[in-house]
Amino acid sequence: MNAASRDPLRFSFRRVGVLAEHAFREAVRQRVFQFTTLLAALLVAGSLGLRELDFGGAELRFVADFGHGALVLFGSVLTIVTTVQLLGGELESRTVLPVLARPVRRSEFICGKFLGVWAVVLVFCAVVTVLLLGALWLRVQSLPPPLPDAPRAQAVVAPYAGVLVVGALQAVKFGLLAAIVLLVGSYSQSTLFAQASSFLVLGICHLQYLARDAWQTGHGWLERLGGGLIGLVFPNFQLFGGEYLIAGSGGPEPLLVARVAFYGLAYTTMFLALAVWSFRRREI
Amino acid sequence: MRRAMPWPTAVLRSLPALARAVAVVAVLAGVGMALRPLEAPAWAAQVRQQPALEWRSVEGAMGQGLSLGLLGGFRALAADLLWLRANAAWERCDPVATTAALQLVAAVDPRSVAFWLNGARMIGYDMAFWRLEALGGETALPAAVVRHVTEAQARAAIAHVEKAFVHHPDDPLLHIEIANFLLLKLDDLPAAAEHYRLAALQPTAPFYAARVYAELLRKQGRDRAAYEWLVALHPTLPPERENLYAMADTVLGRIRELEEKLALAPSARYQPGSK
Amino acid sequence: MTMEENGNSTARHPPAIEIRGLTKDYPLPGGRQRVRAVDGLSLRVEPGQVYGLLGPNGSGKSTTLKALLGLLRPTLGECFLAGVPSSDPATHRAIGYLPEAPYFPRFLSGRELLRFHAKLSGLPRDGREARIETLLARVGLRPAADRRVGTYSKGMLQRIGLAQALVADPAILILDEPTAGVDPVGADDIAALILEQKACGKTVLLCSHLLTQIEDICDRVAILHRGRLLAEGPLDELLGRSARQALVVENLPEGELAAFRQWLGARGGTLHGVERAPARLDRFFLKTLAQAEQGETATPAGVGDSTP
Repeated sequence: MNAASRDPLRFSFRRVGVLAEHAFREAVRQRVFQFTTLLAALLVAGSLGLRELDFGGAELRFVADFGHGALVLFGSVLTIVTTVQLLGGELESRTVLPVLARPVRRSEFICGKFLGVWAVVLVFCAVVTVLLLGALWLRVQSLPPPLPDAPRAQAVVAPYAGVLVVGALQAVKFGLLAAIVLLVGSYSQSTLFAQASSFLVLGICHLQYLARDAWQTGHGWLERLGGGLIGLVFPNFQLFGGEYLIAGSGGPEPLLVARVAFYGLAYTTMFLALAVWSFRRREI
Repeated sequence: MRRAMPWPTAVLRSLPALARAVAVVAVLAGVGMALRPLEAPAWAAQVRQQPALEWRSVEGAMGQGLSLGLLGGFRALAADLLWLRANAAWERCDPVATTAALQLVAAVDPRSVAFWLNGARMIGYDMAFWRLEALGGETALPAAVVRHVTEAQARAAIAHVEKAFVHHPDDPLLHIEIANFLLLKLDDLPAAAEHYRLAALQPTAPFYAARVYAELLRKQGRDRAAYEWLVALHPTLPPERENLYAMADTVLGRIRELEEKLALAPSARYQPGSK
Repeated sequence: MTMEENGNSTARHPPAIEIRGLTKDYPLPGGRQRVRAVDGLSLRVEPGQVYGLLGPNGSGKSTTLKALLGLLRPTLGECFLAGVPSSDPATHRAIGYLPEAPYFPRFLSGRELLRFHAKLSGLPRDGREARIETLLARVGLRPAADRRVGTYSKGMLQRIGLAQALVADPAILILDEPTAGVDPVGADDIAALILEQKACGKTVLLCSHLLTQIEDICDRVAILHRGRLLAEGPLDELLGRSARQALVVENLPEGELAAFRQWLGARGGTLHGVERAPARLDRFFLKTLAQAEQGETATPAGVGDSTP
């Protein structure tokens, strides 16, 4: 072994990039990505077909809701299934062995998987968001101009900015979800357990606000303590819904959006660090 | 080769794993506490803009697959699908199913004014007609029965709309909807007029709300009040050549009619553009 | 060489692979029982050696390799690669590893797989593609390089696995069952490849069930059984054949055999046994195929060919 082999192996963003590129390529070639993207696109397109409901401007909210629902539902499924497959699937099938036999740190491995999954999810969010913007634009074109029957009658404006904000925040949320799934997968012994646990955590994070309420309004000390702990440990996925950020006609509030995005990124970093710490101890 | 361990040793050996789990929970709880200052304002904004989920009202529907729809951002989608279900029940002329679906829609996602308004119309107008048809038809029934059914449904519709004020306190269309029920189904002119007045005072009120209020005042014989209201209204209206809907000339015509009816002296009459 | 010189020599040229007292226990469900997969194993592999690790299924071979690669933590003992603890991922710069029954990402082509491992190993861009093409040609997978790995046969998977193990031109090759599921032609080719690596000064640690193959290419072997080392050493010593010679004689009349035994005894030798020299089926098989490829036909007389 030459002298270069004796140099300590420092964390390398280059290697992380190689692993991320590999994870992205593998994920995109799997059917789950193509399937979920197609289903989401069909759902967005399907909302345009509901022409019997003629609510005028409110109809745009209907289309946006469908698109948002498709983004959240299929994005969550895509994130969990892809992450479990790229980590747990590799551990189960032992395709991870030749990779970890390379000069690769376990932290680089986990970070590479995370970035690869997040890149896939970003593509998904971008595709669905663009489709939704297009659907809204098409529907706006077909709506009649508003009657100027009020002193402050306003033209029907599609919530383009809101859709973009929601798309961006959901992408942050899916990154956080991927980090959580990586932590779960770092110690899970089977992909089935990892997927089931991840969906359970997804549900808890969406209902985390109820635990917060239990901390404040719960009856017994156990209920309050348990609620408080859950409210602290699990991130609040409700925050990433986005619609509340659009105050009146002023568009998204930048400060609130920034707060929520930073909240998501901070939690993501912590879960990723815990996943690295857990995976370093794992025996393959 | 299998080797057995005494149980105290096994317990001791499992302590590190337990300690690691506790450490993970502690770290995440610490992160949660540190991020609360970021989360709290955003959460407060969300609670202000989105109503609290009324679990009791949707509890009964849990078994119907609504559980998933209540998870976070799926609520809006669930409400949209419930609205479709309400319309399907409406097409079948099923008052029980329609009412249940409308109440669920309102509980799950009350942000859409259109859902409140159209729901009220289903309750107030359509269901009255269904009930009367079920009893034999309006022409075959005594007037008292027809009035009873009509008024009952109108009150139910008004009660439905009034719940919306919690979430849409400034929406003039809600006031107008209530006013229409009061006027058309309950013959309550003063109450209807009051709701048109409240509607007219909202920033996004349609032009006609103010005009209708004045007409309702006139129908109650309150010509003076109607005159003062229209005189205060006319200067705020754009010229008719700019906006037909404002009907500024029509309002001026009503003012002149009232001036004649009230026999106002020429010097006391309204002069457009004088204020 | 004195002990001091030996120690200094070891420090300057440590063994390529060294395992000291390796013990690995696995806990069983329930937490109160453990299975000992490797029990106090110690061995050394010097640079340039081809070292065979033999043992039945469950003898601890794969566990030993995983401990060597830092994929699991020993319960006791240490493993070193060129004098550096193997738990340090930096040591993997010098390793090429072929796992048993290798599985690779199904959705990558053979070429993409090699490119991925080359990048991961830090191979510079200049020369990377040339190295990949050379390896693909060497393992005979150039025609299938752009096909997805999921469509490869078992033998093709072994060959692409070998190629990825060699892509970074490592000093140490660790091969776990390199010829499992490979036909005799392929196995012969792999053996030749291993010997090529040895000729280039590489160290090879080889696990295999095919004893004939081990015998043909290994310098030293270790035999494991239930996690314990039963025997270890140079092949000739283990088989006790250093002092033995095999003579292949043709057309010696039966009656002359006694005279030959006497002649041998007078010169200090011993005739241990007389038997028909066995023909190796694998050799006959390879020879027949080679002849077929050259357009010749194997003759029935070739059945009696005892050429080893």
